[in-house]
This record gives sequence, structure tokens and C-alpha cells, in this order.
Amino acid sequence: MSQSFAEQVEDVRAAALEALDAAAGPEDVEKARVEFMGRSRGRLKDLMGLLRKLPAEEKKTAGRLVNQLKKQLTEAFEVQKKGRSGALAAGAGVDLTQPAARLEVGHVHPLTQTFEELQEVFGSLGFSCVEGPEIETEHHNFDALNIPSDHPARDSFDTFFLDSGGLLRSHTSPTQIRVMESGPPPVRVIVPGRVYRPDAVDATHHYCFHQCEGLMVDEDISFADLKAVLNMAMEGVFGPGTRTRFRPSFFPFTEPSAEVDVSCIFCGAEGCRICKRTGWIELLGAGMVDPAVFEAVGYDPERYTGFAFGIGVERLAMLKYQIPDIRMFTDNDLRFLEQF
Amino acid sequence: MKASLEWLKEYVDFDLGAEELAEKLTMVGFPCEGLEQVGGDAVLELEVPSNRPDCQGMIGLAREVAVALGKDLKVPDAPLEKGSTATSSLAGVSVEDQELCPRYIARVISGVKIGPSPEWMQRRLASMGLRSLNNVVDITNYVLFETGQPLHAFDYDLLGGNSIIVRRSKPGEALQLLDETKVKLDGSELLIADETGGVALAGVMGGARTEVHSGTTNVLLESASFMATAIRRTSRKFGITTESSYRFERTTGWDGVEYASRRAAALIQELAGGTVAAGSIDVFAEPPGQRQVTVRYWRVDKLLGQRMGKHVIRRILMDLGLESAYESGEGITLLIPHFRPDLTREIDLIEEVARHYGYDRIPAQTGLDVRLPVKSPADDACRRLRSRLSHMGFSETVTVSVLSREQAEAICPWRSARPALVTNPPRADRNMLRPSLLPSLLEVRRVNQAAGRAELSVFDLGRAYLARPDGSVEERRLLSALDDGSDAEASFGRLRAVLETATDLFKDTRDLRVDTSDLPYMRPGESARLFLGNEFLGVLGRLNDELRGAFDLRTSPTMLEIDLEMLIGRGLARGQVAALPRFPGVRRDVALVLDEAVRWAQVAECVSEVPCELRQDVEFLNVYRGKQAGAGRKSLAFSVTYRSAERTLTDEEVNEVHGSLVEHVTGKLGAELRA
Repeated sequence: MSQSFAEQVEDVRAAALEALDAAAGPEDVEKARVEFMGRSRGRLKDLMGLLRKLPAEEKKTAGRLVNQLKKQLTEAFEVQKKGRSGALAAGAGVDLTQPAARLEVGHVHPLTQTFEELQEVFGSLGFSCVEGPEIETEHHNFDALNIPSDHPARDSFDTFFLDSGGLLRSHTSPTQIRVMESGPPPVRVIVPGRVYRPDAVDATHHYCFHQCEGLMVDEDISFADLKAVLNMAMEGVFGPGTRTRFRPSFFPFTEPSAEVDVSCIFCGAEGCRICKRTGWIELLGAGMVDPAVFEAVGYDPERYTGFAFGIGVERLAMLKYQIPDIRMFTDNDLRFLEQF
Repeated sequence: MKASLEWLKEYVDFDLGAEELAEKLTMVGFPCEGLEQVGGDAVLELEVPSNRPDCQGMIGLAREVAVALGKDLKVPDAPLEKGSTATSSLAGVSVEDQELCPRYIARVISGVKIGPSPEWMQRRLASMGLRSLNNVVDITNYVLFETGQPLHAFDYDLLGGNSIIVRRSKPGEALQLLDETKVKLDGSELLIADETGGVALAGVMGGARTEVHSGTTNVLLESASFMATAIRRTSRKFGITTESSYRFERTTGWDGVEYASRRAAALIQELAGGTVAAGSIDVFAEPPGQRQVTVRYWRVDKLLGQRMGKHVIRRILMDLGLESAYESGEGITLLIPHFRPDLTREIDLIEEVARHYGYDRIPAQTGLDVRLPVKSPADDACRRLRSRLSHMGFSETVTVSVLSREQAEAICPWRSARPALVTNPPRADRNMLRPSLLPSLLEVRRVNQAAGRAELSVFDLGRAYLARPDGSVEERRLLSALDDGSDAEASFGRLRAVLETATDLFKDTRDLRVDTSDLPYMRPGESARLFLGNEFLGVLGRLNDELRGAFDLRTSPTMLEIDLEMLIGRGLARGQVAALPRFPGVRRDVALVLDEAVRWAQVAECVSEVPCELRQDVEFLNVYRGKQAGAGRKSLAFSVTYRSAERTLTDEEVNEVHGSLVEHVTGKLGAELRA
């Protein structure tokens, strides 16, 4: 016999650990267990047999080696069994109350989700979605919209100007003008987009925010159509039973003009903190396109009528999801985004 | 505009409570922003639209209340006892700039006794939030609130030459105002002056020198009309907004100038004694003609989508103070009073009808025809990208498009002729429209670092603003993504996945090329330029340490930015479905040991050089470095799939073509096959 007893112990150890390492599944582990730890023909059992035949003076040391090996292998197999085949293999059933390991998914930004919802609702009413440039001309942003330069109404349309000429649009309405300049009626579009106004940033104001504009022009569009379309759209966005209230207002580019309130979705128009106990929430501006705007784009105001409306998208999302601060949209803290 | 309930009741006989009145006014276009109790009176804070200067006074508002409630409006008369002396013999008025001052009326009241005004007037002023000063000044304020026409009272005896000159200021001229501030004029402002100098900043505030005081006995009362834009400029320039300037900026009516003058003079005579001189000095260029506007009944019905009937239309318009000039079966031509400068066209009258008929009474009904919305390719592409990327664990951000110049110039993969600057930026340090989304994403990284987030995977589909050589600015839609975590290689892997997912969505993007190159803002050896064929598509890399510090980051994130506009231009890849293979493919794995410097792209290119009709797919598997590969070498594994559309391939066939492929690759790249 060429190998010493100690060398044989080491061989078994190496072979057993390698077999465990190579195991691809519970079957392999079991096979290895039988091969090395089997009660009748396992290789550990063989070593025990050899041990008995050793001279008395070697038995003590050799016995210790075999015991160490047995302990190590028992532990190693135990770990493998648990780790690889889990509770089912251990015969313990499955703990279905354990929370799942989280599968990471990303989140679409709440403003995008709001835009997509508006697009879907108005899309179902036949409105196409059009985008326009953010860098605009005075003509499109003001003049064609019946906002002359010395009009006090321009106050509420303070604007950022670019050194290269041009300005950052202060509303999405200039895209209405572009749409009408590009072709004759009928027109039925919504314009989602980013707008800029030199407002100080606080919980409800930002100098960079988003609007969704709507425009419909044809031969017989009336104020009654405007009311019907916005009624339907608001029901689409806030759910069945949502009502709208139209109040007279003033915008240079529409006449008659209206502020549109939506029945409070939080209290069912009973009156609560959010609607300031009125049952109504002011949400959007709307009106019949002013004949001066039609003239500016070369539409015949005697033949065509139409309506336009504008929605503040942050305001809509803040209401719908009860978001307390407009800055959360552009901070992009994942703890916020992950909630959508 | 504040409105007192008690005060309104002087002009209209009604018994609504404050809240009911607020609701009525809200529904005719004057939303009530607040309601408070002042000394037993209810005061409504109303929002008056900028095109309704007539409602900057109680009488104008009362007219709206009267029409809304179907009641009569009572306007107080202003009878004057005629004094024996003519005003023109006591004072002189000369208007040098009639464009800026179309009308100026002066009256002189002599022998007044300055004292406190009666309690009822003090209460009215208190409800408007004004403290009582003395009877004469209080009367001018009272009439201002009543009519919306601002007035000013001068101490007649302190006016040099007892005369008024309305002129532009002289450059360098100074004026001490009632509130003790001293303004320096530059020649552009309209000034009320006497022979010695300025006595009032026209339409904005009176001067201190000619102020009515306790010893005043003779008063010159000014009631005038000033050009709105001129008053607006002056008020903006000095940052002074008064009850007067606020109203002049919104224009005041022609007739109101005369009525307010008479009304105030009558009140002074009644409450402060004294005698009003006979007549007035009334300087004006040309009285504006009275406008006529025709409204066609059918047009009202068509625009509102509701049959109104001529009686409803007539009643509302006449109650609002318009007079019929001519009527026919089709419509009515109306004379527009001067206090309604906003009514110039038929549409303006239709709005008045709608407003007082009630928006809520117009039915919400439509015969909207069915129409399919047109889909835009860009919109479609963005939706699909968002959906794919979010499923891959990337969250979408929406970031502000204005950056500081340092941030914007630190990283810009795109050619931009010059920075696009905002001349009146939101913050002095944020004045540049971003030429790339990457700085925005680094800000997002910083926000989330502060929130204690170790790993971050985000993308943005915003616009970048690139100046063209001709000075115009292009808005280009980009796809940017940022990935950060403990394992930079894994981050690169995820961004490669984003890149491939994005390009795979579009047609003809098989020619994607990744050119390793050192971008100045990325870590050396860890960045690449991306191309589709020969067209520049974007960049991929890991932020360098200098910028990491500049952006206050503790880690160097991996970033990708590509030109989405270019991908959209290629069209979405939605072709025909390929038939499923009928015969099995044979896959062979190859593991090569080769030099570290050899890139996968070279291996792939090398493979493609070997012509073979049966080769269907070549797929990268992994790279292994370690003792077995040896120093400076790596083991690279890939698989090749062979398939025929006509038959099941035999081992021999595959061995032959695969053998020659391996031979070519090993030979050309100096590689060995790993055992």
C-alpha cells in the first residue's frame, strides 16, 4: 500500500468537496451524499473499516482525522441541502407569508402619466396630439393671440427672452396658431408641452411647468359643444359623475371666455378642505376662439367657429394624487417617482 | 377690488346676503376671493377682469348686480349750486401733451372748512381699507371708489399762478410725493405742474408741496383722463402702485371724468361747505365718438349653441346701459356707453349675453362627429421606449431645461454654435438652455445621493437646445440614461442594454457602431462615441473625477445620451413577422484566449468576414480573466448557431464550416482555443 492513511483521508475530503461544488441540483447532492456518507458502502465507511485494521499506536491520531472529516462533510452536505433545495426539500412546506424579493421595475414619471391619460381621453373624442416648439416668436406667443404689447393682459404673461431673439413660450397656445397656420379647418387637436414664466419657485409655482392645450374648429362649433366636450373629458379623467361649472372670465384669445371648475373629487362636491368648502375646484381656462385670432391665421371668422381650452398639468396631477409641492416633479427623488 | 355690501345697496335695491351675492357675482364673471366683516358691513374681495375698468368702481359693480338680479340701478345725481364767480377767472389749465392727457377738468371750491368727514363716509372708506384723513381728501377717495375715476384735490392757494400745466417732466427734475418719497424724473413721465414746478406725478400720486392740509380754504379739484400705457410705465418705473394708478392703467371712461368731478364738488359743498365756482375748465382734444355695434340674433344662437330669442338678447344689453340705435328683424345696432371700452365687436356683445343669460343655462350638448386621432411617430416611439425602459428597471425623470452655464458647458456631446442664453433668467446662476440632458441627470443623481440612495437607474426623454450657425435654436429630443451603483461594469452592462433596446425599436439600426474614444468629460478609457453607420448617434461613458467633484457626487455614474430624433427618423421597426424555423439549429460555443486589447467588435467583424450561408446568429457569451488565461490575456466565449431552411444539418456539415470559421478567427486575432 503506497498511500498513508492520512493521505487517503485527504483524498476523500477533496473528492467529496469537489463533488459538492460540481453539483448542479438536489439530485447531484444526494448522489454525492450516498457516495461519501452512505451507511453501507460510503467512502467514509470504507475509511472506518481501514481504521480498524491499523496498529494500536496509530489508531488514536487516525481516529481523530476521520472524525474531523465526518463532521466537516456532514456540515457541508447540510449547508448544500438547505441552500440548494430550500424549504420544499427540507420537507417543511413553503412559507407563503414571506414577502417576495423585490423585482426592480422602473417608473414612468407622473407628469407623463397625466399627459398620457389626457391624450387617451381626448383621443377617444377624436383629438390628435400635436407638439410645438418651446422657443417661440412674439407673433405666435402674443400678437396672433390678440395680446397686443401694451395690453394689461400681458402682465399675466410675463416671459423669458433669449439673447438670440425669440422667447420661451409662456403658454402652449402659440401651437394653436401654428396648427391653424399649417392648414384649413376642421381642426381637433390637443397640445401637450412645457412652458415657462418668470415666477418665483414655491410649493405651487415653478418657472418651468407643463400645460395641455386643446383646440377644435369647424363650421358649427358652439359653446354648447365646448361644455359637452369638457364635461366628457373631465369625467374621463376624474371618473363618472364628475361635473363641471363654467364661469365667465377674460382671456384675450377667447370670447366668451370661461374658468372651468370641476366638482370636488375628494368630497363628492360636499365641501372639504381641498375645495375650500365650495365643492368646486378651479381647474382650467376655456372659451370660444376670438374672431381676431381667426383673422390672424387667415380663417374666415364668419364661416368658422371653435373653442380652445388649457389645462395646467402639474395642477391636475397635484390634485389627482394629492402631491403637496410642485418641486417634487422636477426633483426626481426616486422615493417620489417609485410611488407611480 | 373690494366691494361693500351696504354700499352696493345704495345703488340697487336687493336683500341678498353676502354669500349669495358672492355666488351671483362669481357666476357673472367676478369671482369672490374672500369675504370679511368690517364694522358690521360685509366686504367682498372681487377679482375684476382686466378688460372691465368700469367695475373698478361701486357703480359699475352695482350695474352688474342690477342686471343679474333684474333690478334697477340708481345713480346718485350731483346737483351743484352755482357760484357767482366763473372757474375760468380763478384758475388756468393748459395741457401740453393731449395724447397723454386727453381730458382734464378742473373745478375750484372756495371757502371750504377742513375737518373730519362724517361718520358714514369714514365707515365706507374703512370698509375699503382706507383711513380717514380729512373731509376733502376723503371725498376724493370716496368718489374714486364709487365711480372708479381717480381724483386729486390741490390746495388752490399753494398752486403757483393758480394754474395747472399738464406736461412731460424735464430731465433731472425732482418731485417730493405725498408719502415723502422723492422721485427723480427723466423727461418721459407725465407731470402735473404749476408755474414753479411739479405738483403731482400724473395719475400716480400727488405732490407734498400743494397737499390739502388743515389750514386749506380753497381747493382745486382735478378729474382727468390719462393714457393707460403712460401711467403704467411710470408706475412700473418707480415701483409705485396706488388706487389711482391701478385704475388709470386699465383706462377710465370719458364721461366718468365729468360725472366724478361734479359728484365730488357737490359732496365737498355739502360736507365741507364752501362755494363751487360756476362751470368748470374742461380741456380736451376731441371727444371720442359714440361707438355703434350690431349684433345678429342668429349669430348669438349659432355661437352659443342655444336659441336665445331676441327679447332675452335685447333685455340683457339694454340693462347693461347700451342704447338701441337701430333694429331690424335680423338684429339690433347698439350705442356703446363710454364706460364700456371693451365692447367693440359683435362677439363682445355675444359674450355679454352669454354671461348674463348664465353659462350654466347653456346646455352641454354636442353632435361631435366621429374621427380617428392622428398618431405621431415621435409620440409613438416615446411611449414604446418608456414602456420598455421602465420594465427594465429604469425610472423616467422630467428635468428643468435651464442650467447654469458651468453645468451646461461641462458636458455637451452635441455640436452647438453658441450657448442659448435667457436674458432675464429665473436665477442669475441659471441662464442657459441646456445643450444636453446629462447635467440634468447628474443633478438628479445628487438629489438621490442626498436621499441616501446607493443605486440609481433613470432615463429622460427631454429636449436639448442647440444653436445653429445662423443663430436660431434647434430643439432636439434626446434619450439620456444614467446608471450608478457599486459595480461600474454592471452599470455599463445596463446602459448597453438600454442602448440596444432603444436601437432595436427602430428600423435599420443594425449598423450601430461603438467607437472607444476618450471623451473629455468621461474617465479615460471608459467612454465611447456611438454611430449608426457614419452618423453620430451619441455617447456612452463614465463621468470623470473632476466633474464628479464639480457636481458634488461621491460616485462616478455611467451615462448614455443618444439622438432620439435620428432614431425616430428611421421609423419604428414594425415589419412583417418572419416564419418560424422548421429545422433545428446547431449551436457551437467557441472560447478563445486572446490579447486584452482585442475588442468584441473586432471578433464579431472577424467572424462576419467568413462567408457562410448556414450561419444564422453569433452571440457574445462572456469574458473570463484569470490564471488559466495568463497575464495580459483574456478568455472570450461566444456561440455560433447554424441552421438551414431546407433540412436538418448533419454534424459533419457543421464541423466543416465551423472549423474554417475558428481557423480564420484564431489565425487573424492571434488567439488560441481554450481547452
